[in-house]
Amino acid sequence: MVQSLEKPQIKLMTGAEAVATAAKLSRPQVIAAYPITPQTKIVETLSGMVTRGEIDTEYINVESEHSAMGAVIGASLAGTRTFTATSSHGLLYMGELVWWAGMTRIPVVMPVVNRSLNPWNIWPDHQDAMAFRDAGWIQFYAKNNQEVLDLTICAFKIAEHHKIWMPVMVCLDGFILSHTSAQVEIPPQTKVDDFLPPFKPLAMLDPDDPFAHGSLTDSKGIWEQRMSLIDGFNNACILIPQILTEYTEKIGRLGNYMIEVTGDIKGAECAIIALGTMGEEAEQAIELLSEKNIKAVVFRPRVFRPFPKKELISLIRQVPRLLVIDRAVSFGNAGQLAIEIQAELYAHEVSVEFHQIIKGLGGMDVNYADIAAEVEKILKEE
Amino acid sequence: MMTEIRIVSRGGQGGVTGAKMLAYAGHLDGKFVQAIPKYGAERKGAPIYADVRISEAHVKTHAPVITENTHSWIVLEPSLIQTIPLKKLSPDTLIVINSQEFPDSLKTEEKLKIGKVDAVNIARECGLIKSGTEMVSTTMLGAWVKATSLVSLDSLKKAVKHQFGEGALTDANIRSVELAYSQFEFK
Repeated sequence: MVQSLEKPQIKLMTGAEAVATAAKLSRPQVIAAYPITPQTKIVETLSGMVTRGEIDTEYINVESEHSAMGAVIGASLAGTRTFTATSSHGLLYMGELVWWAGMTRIPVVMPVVNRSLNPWNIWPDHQDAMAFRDAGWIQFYAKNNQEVLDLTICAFKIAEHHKIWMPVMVCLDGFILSHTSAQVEIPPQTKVDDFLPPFKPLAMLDPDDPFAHGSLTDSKGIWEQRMSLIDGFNNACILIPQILTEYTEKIGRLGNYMIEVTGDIKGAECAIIALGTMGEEAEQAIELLSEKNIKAVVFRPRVFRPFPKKELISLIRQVPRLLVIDRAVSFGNAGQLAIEIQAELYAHEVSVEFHQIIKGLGGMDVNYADIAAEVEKILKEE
Repeated sequence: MMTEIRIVSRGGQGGVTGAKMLAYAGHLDGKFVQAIPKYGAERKGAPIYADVRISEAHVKTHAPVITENTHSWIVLEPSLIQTIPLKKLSPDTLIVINSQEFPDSLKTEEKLKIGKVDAVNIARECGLIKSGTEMVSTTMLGAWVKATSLVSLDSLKKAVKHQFGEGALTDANIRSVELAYSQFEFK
C-alpha cells in the first residue's frame, strides 16, 4: 500500500509497534539494541524496518543492554540522533550506563516497557523505571498507544533542545500497552520532519579539535556538572509544555499539559492521581462513579521527571481529598508518586485529605471497577 | 456501547491471532477496538485467553474484561468450558463453542445463549492443520459473526487477508469462515 505523505493514517498496532513507528518517523541515525527477552517487539519491528530499507539508520546489534547504552552514548557524542529500547531486567543490566547517560547529558531517547523486577518475570508494573527516577533522565508515562507514539516523537525534540540536552525515557506499561493492539493515528512524515529538524549537536567529539568527555575530574567538576543538570531540569519544566504545544499545533491531539485533568474539578469530592494506563483506567472509573452520583476527577501526571510540582499544587488546592495510586513501591516507605506528592503538600502547606494505595504490582489486574470501589471506600469511611 | 469478548483457547490454536483479527475487523467497520493477549502461559496446549473490545467510543479501560460484563465467549475447544465461570455470567451472555455436539454441561443451561460449530471438521476440510493441530480460530470467528452480526462478514474476511496476506492460506481461512458462518447453530 502506498503511504500518503500528507494525510494521517489510523492503524491498529501494539504499543511496541507504536514506539517503533514513532522512532522511524523521528529518523534516528543510530539504533543500538540487544534483541532478547525482556526486550520487546520494539526492536524486532525496527530491525525489520531496517532490513526492508524503510529507515536509514546505523543499526548496531550489540551483545548486551549494557553495550546498547554504551553504543548510543558513543554515537551521540559523535554527533548523531540516537535511540535504544529496553525493559525491566534489561534496564537493570544497563544500569551503570543509564546513569552515565544521565550524568553526562546524552540526549538519547529510550522507551522503557514497564515490567516488574526480580525474580525474573515479565509482568507489568513501574518498578523498573522507578528504580531510575534519580538517574538524571526525563521520564514520561503514557496512557495509551496513541500517547506512546506522540510522546516518543516529542521526546527527541525535548532531549535535543540545547537548554535541556538530556536523555528521555518514555515509559509504557508492559503488555497492557506494549502487546495490546489499539488504534493509533500516524502523522505523515512531512509533518514530523517539520516538527523535528535534523539533530544539531551541542558539542561533539571531533578528532580535529579534540576534547575529553566524561573523564575523571575533581570534585568541583562533578559539583558543577550536577548543578548544571539541576538547571537543565528547571529549564525542562518550562520548555516541555512549549514543545508539546508545538507538536499539538503542527501534528495534533497531544495537548501541552504536564498533568492531564479529566472530569469536572468543580465540586469533585475526590481526585484520583495515577501514572500511565492506570490514569486512563481512572477516567473510566469516574464515569462509573458519576452513575452513583459521586463526583471525582483524575489528575494524571504524564511527566514524572521533572516532577510537575507547580501544576500539581494548583490542581490539588481545588479538591478536598486525594487518592494516589502507585504501581511501584519504595520498600520501607510507600509508593513513589505518593511520597513525592506528600512532600509538595507539606512544602506548600496544602490541607487536603490524603489517601494512598499500591495496585497492580507484578501485573495484578487493575480495572476501573476496582478504582471506583477504592474511592467509594474512602468516602464511606468518613 | 462497548462489546467485550473473551476468546478461550489452548496455546497453539490461534486464539491470540484470532483476537487480533476480530479487532481488525471491528477497526475496518469504523469501531474503536482493543485486542489484549494474556501472555505468560503461551505454551502449546496450555489454556489461555485473549480479550477483544469493540466500541462506539474510544476505549479507556486497559484491564482484561470483567467477567460479569462479557458479551460473549468464543471457546476453541469443548473441554475449556470448565474454565468459564458460568455462574458469574450475566443473562444472555453468548457462548460459541467449537464442538460436534452441545456439551452435556450446557444442555440444561437456560440463562445463557449457547451456539456451536464443528470447527475441527471445517478446519480439516479446509486443510488448516499446523503441526498436527487443527487451526480453528478463523473458523470460530466466522461462527461468532453469524451469531452476533457485530462486525461485518466482509470486514472479517479482509482481516483474515490482512493477517495472512495473499495466497492459499488466506483462501483456506476465508473458506473456513464462510463454512462456519453457514453451519453455526444456536441450541
